[in-house]
Amino acid sequence: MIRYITQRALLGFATLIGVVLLVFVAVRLTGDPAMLYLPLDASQEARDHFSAQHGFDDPIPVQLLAYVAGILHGDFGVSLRRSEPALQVVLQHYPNTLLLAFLGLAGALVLAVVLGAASGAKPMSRLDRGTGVVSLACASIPDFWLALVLIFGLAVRGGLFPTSGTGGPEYWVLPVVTIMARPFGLLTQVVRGAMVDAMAAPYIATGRSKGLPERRVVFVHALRNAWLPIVTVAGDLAVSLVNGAIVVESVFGIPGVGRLLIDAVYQRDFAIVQAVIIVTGTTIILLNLAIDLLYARINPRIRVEARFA
Amino acid sequence: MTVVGSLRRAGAPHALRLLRGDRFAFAAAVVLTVVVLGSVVGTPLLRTAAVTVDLSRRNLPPFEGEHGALFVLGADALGRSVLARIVVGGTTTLSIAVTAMLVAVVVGGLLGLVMGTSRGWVDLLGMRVTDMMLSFPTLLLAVVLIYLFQPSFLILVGVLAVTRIPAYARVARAEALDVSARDFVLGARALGAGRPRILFRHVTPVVAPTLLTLGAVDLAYVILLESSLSFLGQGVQPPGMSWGLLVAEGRNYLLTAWWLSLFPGLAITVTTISLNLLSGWLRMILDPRQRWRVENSRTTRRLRRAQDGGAR
Repeated sequence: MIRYITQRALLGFATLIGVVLLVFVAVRLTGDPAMLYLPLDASQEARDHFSAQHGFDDPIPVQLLAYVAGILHGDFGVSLRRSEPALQVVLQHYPNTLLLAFLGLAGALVLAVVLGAASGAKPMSRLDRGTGVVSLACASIPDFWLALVLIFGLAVRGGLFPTSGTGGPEYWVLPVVTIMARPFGLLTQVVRGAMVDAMAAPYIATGRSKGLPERRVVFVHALRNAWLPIVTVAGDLAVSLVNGAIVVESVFGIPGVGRLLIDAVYQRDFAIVQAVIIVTGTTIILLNLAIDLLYARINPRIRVEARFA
Repeated sequence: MTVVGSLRRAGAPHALRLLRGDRFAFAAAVVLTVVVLGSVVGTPLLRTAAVTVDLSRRNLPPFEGEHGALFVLGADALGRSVLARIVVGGTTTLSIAVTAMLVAVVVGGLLGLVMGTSRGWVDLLGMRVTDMMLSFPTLLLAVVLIYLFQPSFLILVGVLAVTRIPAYARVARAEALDVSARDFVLGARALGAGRPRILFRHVTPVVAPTLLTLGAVDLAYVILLESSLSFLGQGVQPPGMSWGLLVAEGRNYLLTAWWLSLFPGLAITVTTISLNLLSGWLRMILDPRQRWRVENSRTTRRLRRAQDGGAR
């Protein structure tokens, strides 16, 4: 088990190094780094001064060392627009994104497991067909458009929720619903499929024949075995929530890292872009590690393999 | 995977008959045909109408008969026909998405085949790199890549393809590993066939249909990705048109002219739902374990009976 964890952790660490190197190389691939960090209309003197000041005219290995040393000290450069350390700006925005992603994934998981399990237990029933249509629509609808439709229908016309911004819980309803839609749709289909497979197993017939209530058979016996594919897909979806956060935060005006990224791209504030990449990258790697561990925990086969490896 | 076998067994006329048997898949196929035909035929006809400014029709509401069929979906803030803009924008979105998907299938497939047929560090490095890329959010990756290179049609196709290549590479690798262990490949090797020949003459024909099926499943996702990028201002740039960009342009008029955002978004939704329905059906008929479901459906049986009766 310890060996398995170490292996996974090393892999995650290698990925992080890869991401950091990729950013380093990408900046230099596109030509003059001063072009990326400075506004498009910066003068040639300003560029030369910037290059000299930040060592972009040093040899590449020297630059790499300085770059890695800076990152290890938490130094991602200074935001041009805000003149604050980039890392600090990103970390200020991070809690909003984490909250949005957490609420979205939790909501999607609960809804998808309940609806998917109930409809997978009775294939082709009315509930199953209804769930099928809803989950297909949720998985196919563009999130930015869903956000606008919700704003128009429920906030502008209905007056039930604020149109955008942050504040009390009522500000979070529409963004969470929007970010939930796609993970919910995909997950429901997976849960349903896993459930249909699980319900065909002989122990289900055993459970029924010894007189267990159907609810217990479905939600305790069958669902337990349907968990593996659910955890696998939920991990991928957790990663893709970052995609949702970029769009949802931009539409609803939530100050999170997704919106920060888009704003930074518009303003050509590269220090912020780089800090966003590395902070989200680190989170995703930690998350993947957690999912691997959870997976080993609920899948006895991996647990045993890991013990004997 | 016996995709090739079941495809061959299915044959084109048989596949059509199966398609007619499934109401939803059939409807999806009809919708997609309309969308594709609309773009191919409509775009040359409506290209000028899509950019013709007429301030007397500014923010014209939809479904008001007196302005003619061109303005059935209303007009935007400059009085341009929303219908024409959706048709022309759809062509942009679809051509970018389809090209990106095909590039990703070909490049990802080739990389995967090479990884799967060569042991050792090439395979290991490839797996780690694809692992890395797959664990990164696609939209984040795309936004950052576009930041580095400035948006244009080619860059957009390239960026979308790059975000999808690892997925195809992994599938192709797994399939190639599986296929290269089969007897006909061993036989070819025993007869003295070289590696390129085995790769392209024996392994590729088996793996290619699987990858194309995966591409069909993936197309809806690529369309959504392109639309999101254009919506965020990182994809197609004005005066160009794409569905995502049209939704973004209409967003400023949400209070006064809802139809500007609603209809392009509806076009995306209808297209992606149809693609998902059809690719789900395609996966089902290509999976021998699930085929009985379609083959035994009532309509298919009735159709077959009618056809057999007619032949006799």
